[in-house]
Amino acid sequence: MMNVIKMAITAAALVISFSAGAVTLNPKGVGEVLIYPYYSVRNGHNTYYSIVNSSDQAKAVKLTFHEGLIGAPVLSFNVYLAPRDVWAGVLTAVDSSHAGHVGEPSVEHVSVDNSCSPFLNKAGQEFLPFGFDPNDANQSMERSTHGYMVVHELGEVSGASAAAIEPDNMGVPANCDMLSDAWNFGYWTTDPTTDISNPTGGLYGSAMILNITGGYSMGLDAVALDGFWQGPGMHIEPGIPSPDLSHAAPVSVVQGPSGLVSLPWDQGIDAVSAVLMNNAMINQYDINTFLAGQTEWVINYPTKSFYTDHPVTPQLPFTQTWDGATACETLTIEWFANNTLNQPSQGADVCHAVNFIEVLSEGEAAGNQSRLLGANDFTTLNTVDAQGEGYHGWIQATNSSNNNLINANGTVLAGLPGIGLAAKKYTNSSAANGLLAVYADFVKPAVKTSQASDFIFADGFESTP
Amino acid sequence: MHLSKQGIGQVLIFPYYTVNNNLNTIYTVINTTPDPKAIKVRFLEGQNSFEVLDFNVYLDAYDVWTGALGPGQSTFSGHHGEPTAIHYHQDQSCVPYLPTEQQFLPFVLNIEDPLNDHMQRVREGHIEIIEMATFNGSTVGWADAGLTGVPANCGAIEADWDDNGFYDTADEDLVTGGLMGTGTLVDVANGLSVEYQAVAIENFWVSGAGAHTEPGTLFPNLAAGNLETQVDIAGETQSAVYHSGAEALTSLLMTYELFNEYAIEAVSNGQTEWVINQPTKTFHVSSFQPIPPYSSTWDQFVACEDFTIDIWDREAQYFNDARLSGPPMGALPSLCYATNVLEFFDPDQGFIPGPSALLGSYNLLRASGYPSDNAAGNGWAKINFNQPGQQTAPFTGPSLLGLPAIGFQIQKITNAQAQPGLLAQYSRLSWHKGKAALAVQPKQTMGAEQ
Repeated sequence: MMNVIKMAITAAALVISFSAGAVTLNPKGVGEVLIYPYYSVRNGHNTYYSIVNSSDQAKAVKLTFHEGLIGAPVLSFNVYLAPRDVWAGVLTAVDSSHAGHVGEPSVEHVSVDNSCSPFLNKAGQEFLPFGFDPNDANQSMERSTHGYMVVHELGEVSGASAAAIEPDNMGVPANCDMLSDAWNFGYWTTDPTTDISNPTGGLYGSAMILNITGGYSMGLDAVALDGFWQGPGMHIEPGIPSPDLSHAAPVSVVQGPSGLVSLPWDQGIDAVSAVLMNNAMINQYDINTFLAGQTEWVINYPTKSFYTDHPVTPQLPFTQTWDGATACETLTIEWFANNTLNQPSQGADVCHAVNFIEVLSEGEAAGNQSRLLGANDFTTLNTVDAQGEGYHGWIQATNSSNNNLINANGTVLAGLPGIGLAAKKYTNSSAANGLLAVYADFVKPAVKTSQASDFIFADGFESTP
Repeated sequence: MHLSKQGIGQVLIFPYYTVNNNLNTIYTVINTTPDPKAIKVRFLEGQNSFEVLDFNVYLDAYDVWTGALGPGQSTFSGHHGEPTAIHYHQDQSCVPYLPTEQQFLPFVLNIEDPLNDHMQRVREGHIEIIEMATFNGSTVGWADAGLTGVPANCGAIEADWDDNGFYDTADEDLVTGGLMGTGTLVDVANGLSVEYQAVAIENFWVSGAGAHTEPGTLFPNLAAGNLETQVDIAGETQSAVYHSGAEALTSLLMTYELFNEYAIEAVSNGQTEWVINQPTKTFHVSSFQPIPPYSSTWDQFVACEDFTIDIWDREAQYFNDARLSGPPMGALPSLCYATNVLEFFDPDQGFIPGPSALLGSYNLLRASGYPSDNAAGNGWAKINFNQPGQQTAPFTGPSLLGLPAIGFQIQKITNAQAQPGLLAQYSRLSWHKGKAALAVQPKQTMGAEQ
């Protein structure tokens, strides 16, 4: 009994309290900011996505789609969600009709949702080239055919604006035109905080990559950040890709060796990176010919552009700057056949915001595109079936020890702020006639994290002029 | 102990397996550490999580164990011909006494629920994997697969267990965690599959001291762990100490509100089913008195907990006529099993009685989504575990509201003309979202109330 009481006292002393306004990764998938780590219209894929407002308050949200090379924004608009409302949209492949880009592969955003989305052409809005840096080597809209999406809550909506969003009993909002007018030299142009109060979270979302003629689909859940805002959000007009992930409160709460720890940062983007940091991703592969297995990894770094795209010198946790075409970090790939056979590790460069690793069999040559996701820039891993048992096992991708995020107090988070997905697909060629028996899934990798206090690093930072 | 956000830990919980409706379940566990390990792999049927099979696997460093479940017919006395599940494996790892085909066992059901021991029960449920020990002696070499992929001496491990229930080699060392797992529900013939990552628990064992028991024993189980818990709510760590390991693990899974989406458009033959697994429920309901947060006990057939559900369509239309059907229930709907399936149906279309359409579940509740002729035919729903008594009772630390619940939704749509004359089926899995909540602190007198 003594021990129990002693334990209880220790536990009571361990209750830690943090003030609101510290970025956290919500383990139950609900928050103020949602990151959808992957969308694609390549290889016959469409992407369906949805955003749910689980709260009982009307909300303004900003959706921004980022292309896959360095995360340049390619479409951004506002959606005004009624309490308990959902927004859903679909991305499909289209040939661009933009001047200077005519005929290039691009993306069309379509929505049949009734929610108010001022100035968005719901019937079909092409992705836009305006966010590309003119110095980038690749100016083609093809860049936008895969990437990732970020959703920010901008604030709660009240008053007449909330009444305009409220759907009738057929689900049609009362007056979407009023919101468009408000942004068209109306009351929101004058004062965007009219009828807008602080964000309170409650958003969640999911997406599905769908190949209609191929007969398969892969689902993914949005990663949810809570405590993103410290007080007010930013109600910025549709079409402007702001706020972005750098507008976070410069504090994050992450898992430490014993419970959550609060870490202050110099800049908001570090707080977002901190909750995404990991130094290894682990997942399985299966490329057995029996069911025509395919495995590809997606690794998204949604904060990468903030560290690599603007500064003259790279900022940790990244170590390279964007040169207009790449900003490469090197992963060490270890792989294990199912019965432990550890094979020689190899390096793999991840040079973009969204990166791909295709698993191949021994001696198999890569095509121009990865076979499952149709990525045009990807790394390959040739595995070996040494025992004749088939090509399956697991892969661990470890970041370089040069990749660290370090705060002013000398806390070191190892690795890179990456979100992973493993895509797997099988085809059953002996299915019944008239049946297309193809199945595919996304599955999240397990990750390893490492946190340390590094006083040498901290001292070094302090002594930097 | 605490939930792993990274998907790696000492204990893995797979919220659902099934062999109903032509589905097979494939599961995999990976040892991501350099330490050879003994793990307990256990299958628990869906009604009250009674064990239907367990065995030990001895994983080499960085080793993988894979098994599969398929449908079959029982050959056990008293259950001959009843539908059951069969465990298959081809993996080389040491797994004492387990044949490559092993049907699920009726023994615990026969004892616990003699009035309700039909083997159909075992065809859906959940899987738990518990690290029992690492090794620092002869066992390391025996489990070593070297360069051939075949462990050096599985026979020596089995031989140690042959004579008695003690591992006489006695070279166990502290557990080191590092397990990850995935489960896949697959219908090979029809081209349908969904895959999920197992829920992982860290620091399950006090000071890493595990318990290495012989194959075919009910211990260690999910109640064997640490009494101290850490739960993250709204960016704060809430620490508590519970009276039992079961209550401690329950607290990690506590859910006050559970959200997810549904899609039931008739045009695409949309189907949505939610799996709601309560893997620790059995420890709370199987004695004479229920242990919080549960309020009823298992009577061989049900142990029901009421809840409320709110259903909205995609355009925020509240469906205030949501019909629910399922096990006997009172004014409110209730979850009566450890592993429950909630099937959404279009009230204009109705549903076909019997097991659910997608997962073939018998542990079933049905909820009508919003009528598709009126609105979108898809939307989302929220389950509220907010009934009196639905909260944990810690020895110290804050009480958490709700019930422990993990799981996901599975959606399927059918396209009769994916290519000319070719039917295709699309499926996806999406984890439940939701909220955890602390029990309300006693209110202080406010100025306004004076």
